[in-house]
Amino acid sequence: MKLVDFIKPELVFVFDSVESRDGLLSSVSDRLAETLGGIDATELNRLLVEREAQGDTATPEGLALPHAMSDRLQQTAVAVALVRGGVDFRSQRARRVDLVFTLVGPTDKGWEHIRLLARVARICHAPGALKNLRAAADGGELYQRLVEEDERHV
Amino acid sequence: MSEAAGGNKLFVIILDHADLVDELMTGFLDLGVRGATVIESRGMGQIIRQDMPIFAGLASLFGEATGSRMIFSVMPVSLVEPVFALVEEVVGSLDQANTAMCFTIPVDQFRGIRH
Repeated sequence: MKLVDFIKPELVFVFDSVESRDGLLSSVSDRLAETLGGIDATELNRLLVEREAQGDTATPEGLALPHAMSDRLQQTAVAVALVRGGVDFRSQRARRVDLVFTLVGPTDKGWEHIRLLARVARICHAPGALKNLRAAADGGELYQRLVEEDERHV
Repeated sequence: MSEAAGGNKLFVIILDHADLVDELMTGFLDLGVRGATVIESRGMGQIIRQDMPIFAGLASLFGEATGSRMIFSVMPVSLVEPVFALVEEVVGSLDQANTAMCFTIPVDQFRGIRH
């Protein structure tokens, strides 16, 4: 599976600062709902926050992978946010998170969702990948770097 | 021959480094491999080194004894080449010693539910 098939340039962004995890998820939900259609941003945000409440999705490397599925969604997609300085993700595993991959998709495509999560995990696990992504100056450059990192893998 | 067996292979990986299992499983999911069985195993070299002291002086002939995992997965033929490439991406070139060995076996019958 290729990440490039599930990301759109308009859903890859760099935030200079974010006040809170919920503020970030709300902002990302707004953009996902606007781009994908079919689902209300408030509903999407609620699903993402509920998922985090079950067990946060942050990792010790400073990543987070919030995700949600809904019958209202017609396609699987990923929004990627780089947060300068990071944000407190209320996690025991990570003090601050600065790269957030938000995955959303239809409920009946659970395997696609799992495969995409695995793809993101592989990309981020590769030596040097996180450093490369974190060096992006803006959303456009971050998108290009994601495409490059994606191409490095089978 | 059951219909489900059409075009399937049993992919077997003998992995020398147990700590790479998670990375391989993540890759399996990414590629669309939906199931695998992982078994803790000991190679002949390890048994000879540890349990058969009469051969201890020749142990170097059998390579490193790091412990191993055997991974079995029945998958469509279309996934075989991607999985070979994945294994090399994770463990390094299979031409090097102490990485992994892989082979496939045709599956002529398959019964049971695959989730």
